[in-house]
Amino acid sequence: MRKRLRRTFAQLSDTFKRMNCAHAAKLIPLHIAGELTNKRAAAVAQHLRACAHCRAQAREYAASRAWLRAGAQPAFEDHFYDEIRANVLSQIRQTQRPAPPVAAPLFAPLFKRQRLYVAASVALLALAGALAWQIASNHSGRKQTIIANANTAVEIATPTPKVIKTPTPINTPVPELMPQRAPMFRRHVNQPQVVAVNSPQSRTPRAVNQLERQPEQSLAPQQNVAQTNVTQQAIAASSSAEVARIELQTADPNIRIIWLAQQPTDVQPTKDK
Amino acid sequence: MPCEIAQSLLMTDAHAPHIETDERQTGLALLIARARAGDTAAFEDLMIATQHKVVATAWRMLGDREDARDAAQEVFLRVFKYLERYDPAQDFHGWLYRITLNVCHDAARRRRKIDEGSDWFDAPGHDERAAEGLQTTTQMDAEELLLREQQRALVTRALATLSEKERAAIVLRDLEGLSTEEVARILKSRPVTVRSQVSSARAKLKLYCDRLLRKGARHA
Repeated sequence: MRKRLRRTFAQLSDTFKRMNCAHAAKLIPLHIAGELTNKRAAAVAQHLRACAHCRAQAREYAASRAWLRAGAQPAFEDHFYDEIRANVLSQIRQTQRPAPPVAAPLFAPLFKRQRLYVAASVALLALAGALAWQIASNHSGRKQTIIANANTAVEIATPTPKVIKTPTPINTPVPELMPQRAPMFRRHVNQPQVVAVNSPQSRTPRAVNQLERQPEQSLAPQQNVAQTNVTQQAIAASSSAEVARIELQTADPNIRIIWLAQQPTDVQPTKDK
Repeated sequence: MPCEIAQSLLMTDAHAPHIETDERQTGLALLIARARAGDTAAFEDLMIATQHKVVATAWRMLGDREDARDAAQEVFLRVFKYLERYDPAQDFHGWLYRITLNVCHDAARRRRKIDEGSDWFDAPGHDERAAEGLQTTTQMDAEELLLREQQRALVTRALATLSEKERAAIVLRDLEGLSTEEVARILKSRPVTVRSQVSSARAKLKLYCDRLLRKGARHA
């Protein structure tokens, strides 16, 4: 019983393993040219041994392939090929540019189109660089001129008399001017550009340039200005006989320092808020 | 005027067994290098060495003698034009086949535009023009000549039943004898696709042959 079952199972598995005609028909066109893998080729060969119809099909495939190979050989005479070559060469000669007459062997490589492009681009870059350098140098020259002008302005300012440190009444005799120092460069960062001179007689303040300051006008010391962090400073100096009034405007617009000096020895600084 | 290199390149192993394949490759590489440098004589030798392949492929693809001639001329002009771009590490014949197929594709497209709908393989005068090309001075007798011409015309018509891709695959695989991988490389396709195209083409050609045989039997 067991043996019979085994035999039946082996027959069935062999049947399933065996290739059917539909599957073989797909593989025969490749099988005739040996384009299948070994395993598949063996399966097709086994099927062809068993199936007469598929064997005939394979034979027909092989015959049609041989027929194709025999019939697809062109038989063109030699002058056919000569004509093709002659036409091609004449067209090539037409398209080829004639060489420059004498200087061609020496200078021809120099004037190739690609090299010309490279040379032109290099020249263009050099030109652009020169222009940029020119512009940059002009800009720095202008800056130097401005600085030179500033120096000139400072030099003009230096001969003016030095600011008296202690406020003195205006009617007092002008002290001797400080000895002349060599002109030095001063930065204008913390120095007021404009001095507002406010006199009690004339209520309208007169804006004068600091460079035009008169020697008798007394100003607040620079140290105080720095300590109060004054950015915009307005100094009003009273030109009255008794009182010298000095106003300092701090960075805060609400804070103004007013300094009144009556007598040369008696200075009463007050601070208004 | 073919030079010695071109002559040796034209010889097959059967004709010139002493010439090794490597030697022929070297000769071809030499010709290519010289042609790339602008040597027209070397380019002519290169044409002589490859003209049979180019003309045969063009004729099989287009099925017409005059079209094949025009296509071959165009192929060689393109080869001359783009020879600088050719990578010597690449297979020159593969590159040449690729150009030939491209030219044939363009020619077929132009022709389709000109006579849309008409079967160009059955155009009048096609067989007559082909027959004119055969030299009667050969030793073949007239009957054999006629039979060969008929067979050639039938094969041309059979190839015309294929699609362009199938035709290219079967021409390169069965008629030019390239491997499936080489054909795939030339057609920029996968070997599986080429195998499928070749299988389909063979089935169609067999069908064409069966019909012919049946028709012949009926006439007989």
